[in-house]
Amino acid sequence: METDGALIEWSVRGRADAFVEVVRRHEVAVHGFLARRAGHQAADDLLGEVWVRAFAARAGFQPGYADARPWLYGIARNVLRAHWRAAASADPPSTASEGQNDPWDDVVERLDSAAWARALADAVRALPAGERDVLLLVAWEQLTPAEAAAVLGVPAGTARSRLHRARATLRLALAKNKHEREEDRCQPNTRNLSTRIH
Amino acid sequence: MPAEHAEPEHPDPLSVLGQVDPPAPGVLDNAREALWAVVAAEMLSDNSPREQAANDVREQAANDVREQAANDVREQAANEVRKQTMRRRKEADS
Repeated sequence: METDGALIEWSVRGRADAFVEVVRRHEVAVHGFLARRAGHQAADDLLGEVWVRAFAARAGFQPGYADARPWLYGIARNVLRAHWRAAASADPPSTASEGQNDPWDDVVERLDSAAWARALADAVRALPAGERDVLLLVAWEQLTPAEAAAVLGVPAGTARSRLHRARATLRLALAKNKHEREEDRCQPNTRNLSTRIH
Repeated sequence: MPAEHAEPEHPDPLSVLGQVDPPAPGVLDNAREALWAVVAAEMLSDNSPREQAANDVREQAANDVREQAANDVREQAANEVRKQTMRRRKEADS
């Protein structure tokens, strides 16, 4: 099977339709990336834009990379940012807080009401955006820290240290939450949460 | 205890947070349609990004040549003016 890099190279050399095979390979993953961050409706609406942007930018893809997912996630991330900027500017000032439209609020809204999920979501929300991005690219999109670094355009070492800090912060927050809940003895589902953050 | 009766391993809670339903039928096709439109347009125009880049390079080179020629003409004109000025001064001195 040809690598993504080879297919994209073919598409640049004149076989534009080869790019569609790359899209077929990763369309569910990229849709999931969008849906996890902006909800299903926005993902449905934005997926086509991701493909069109990626197609237009394909000459800049390094064909040495076998897997196009990090590159596609980077483009999807830019499409999401533009979507959020547009949404923030369309909202009246009372709901859009000076352009700081944090999409994580939407993620929390979509969560089920399990207490442990809320506690975890709150802990993730409290992370600095850069640490949160790396953490979720690794935990949700199954990327390596180096691949997450490529998505975010930061050095791999930076991504690794952000991931380390994010995990440490989450463990601490969840251990505190577990302790509080064990004292209350009302939510046994939170037990051992802190030890299961990989 | 047999393996199939063992308590299943708890998944990473963060992964659980990130679980989403697969896209509804037709969503992926619709998105691919948007892509096909631009793919077809490019194939019909026979203007691949590499050709476009090559065209850009050629155009830039042509611009460079034009600019260089214009600079040469300006420099030559300035030299000519300098020479004439010096000639006039010599004639005036003599």
